Amino acid sequence: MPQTMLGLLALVLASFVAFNQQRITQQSYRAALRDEIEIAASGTAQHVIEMLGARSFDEQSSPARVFQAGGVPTSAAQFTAAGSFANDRGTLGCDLMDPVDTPLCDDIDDVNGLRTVVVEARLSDGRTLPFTADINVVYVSSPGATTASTTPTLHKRVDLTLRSSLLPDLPNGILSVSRVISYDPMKADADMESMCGAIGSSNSPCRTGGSVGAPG
Amino acid sequence: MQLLLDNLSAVLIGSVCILILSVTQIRSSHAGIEQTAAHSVKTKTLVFGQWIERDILDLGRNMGQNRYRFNQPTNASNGNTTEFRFWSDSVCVVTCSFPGSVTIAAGDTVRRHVRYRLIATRTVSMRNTDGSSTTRQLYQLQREAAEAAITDGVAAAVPTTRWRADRWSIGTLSFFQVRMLLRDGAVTTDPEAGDYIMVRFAVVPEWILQPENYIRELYWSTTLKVRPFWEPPPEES
Repeated sequence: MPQTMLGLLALVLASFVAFNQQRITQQSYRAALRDEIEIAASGTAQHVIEMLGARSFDEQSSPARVFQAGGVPTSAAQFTAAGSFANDRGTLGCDLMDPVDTPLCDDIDDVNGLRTVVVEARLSDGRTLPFTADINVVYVSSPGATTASTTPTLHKRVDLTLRSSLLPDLPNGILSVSRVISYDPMKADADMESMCGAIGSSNSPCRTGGSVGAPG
Repeated sequence: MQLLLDNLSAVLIGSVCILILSVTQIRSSHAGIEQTAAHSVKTKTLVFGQWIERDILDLGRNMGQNRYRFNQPTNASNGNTTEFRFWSDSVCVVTCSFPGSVTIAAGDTVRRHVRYRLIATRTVSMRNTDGSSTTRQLYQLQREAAEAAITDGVAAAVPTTRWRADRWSIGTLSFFQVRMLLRDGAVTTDPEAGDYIMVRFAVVPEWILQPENYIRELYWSTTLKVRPFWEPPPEES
């Protein structure tokens, strides 16, 4: 009987060790998978941010508007009011990975307020790893400012948050990126010339007004 | 024998305990090797990505007004980029001597060519998510460099024998792709029109374990804006 009790005690201790080891191993596996997903998410977020930066700073600096106005905006007062962001992004919404598919989403503030937009990390052999993106856009007084400005300025801060259904225990998202994009009149002029031709061109597709298609 | 029969229950329980601990030890060893492999592949991926970014951001440097230079990436049928070539200029402040008997006088400009070549190496067997086994081809990305003198604004051609292995390389790639993108994200094949370079690759762990590693491939991508293609504003006098 004592031997049996000791045997059972040994069995309990061995099971305890085995179960804890299994738990620790599972935690390390989850950490490795989380690393894999975060690395894929970081590349996706960078792509989204770069595509956002390629867009016009504001609707007033879009190629068609610059062409019709005869010049680029010269002051922040000409830009969209902070409360009127995303009013002109159209019914198709915004494709954050391939902006060419949503031509009306052609300036930075058009993506303001987007929630659970699907973006994908493109893997090999046609496979994808999906994420959902939330984006906010605000004016800031300077590239280093942290508080939003209620009046138009020459700088817009984009806050992008990515979430993954594979990591539901991270309600705040697996990755958050912020970038301040400043108004560049040279870029606005170059984009206009690229899409509309020289100001005043009679054959320009921008003469009839509105967006001419591809953002930037 | 009598000793075993007299303590049969203890012997059985002890055997089970030993078996449990042995299995636990084996699994711990496997997990330890896998953690090391996972850390290795993550480190390799991030460092290689940093090298790629540095090269992409430096291409077209000192090329003068609104110029950036690269060739259209050469792609294989499986989508991998087998060759990608780009270049930048540099002024020699002192006489520069490069391999291949290339000598540039002080004050002259040298064109530095860089070429990525994807070379097939070995194959590994990995398990798909549906349980079936698949064979994956691994590649080594070789970085090669060559220099050419610029005379009257024209760079000399680079003979094939002048290319040499330069700096870094990585040997466990399962996927590597370079694409040129327009401002709206559309893929282009025109180097003059591309505003962005998108690089994607996947790295496989050095040690393929059985059962398979928990991380089979680590994917990394980046989209970088290459140098602007418009005239800089004139300096105010």
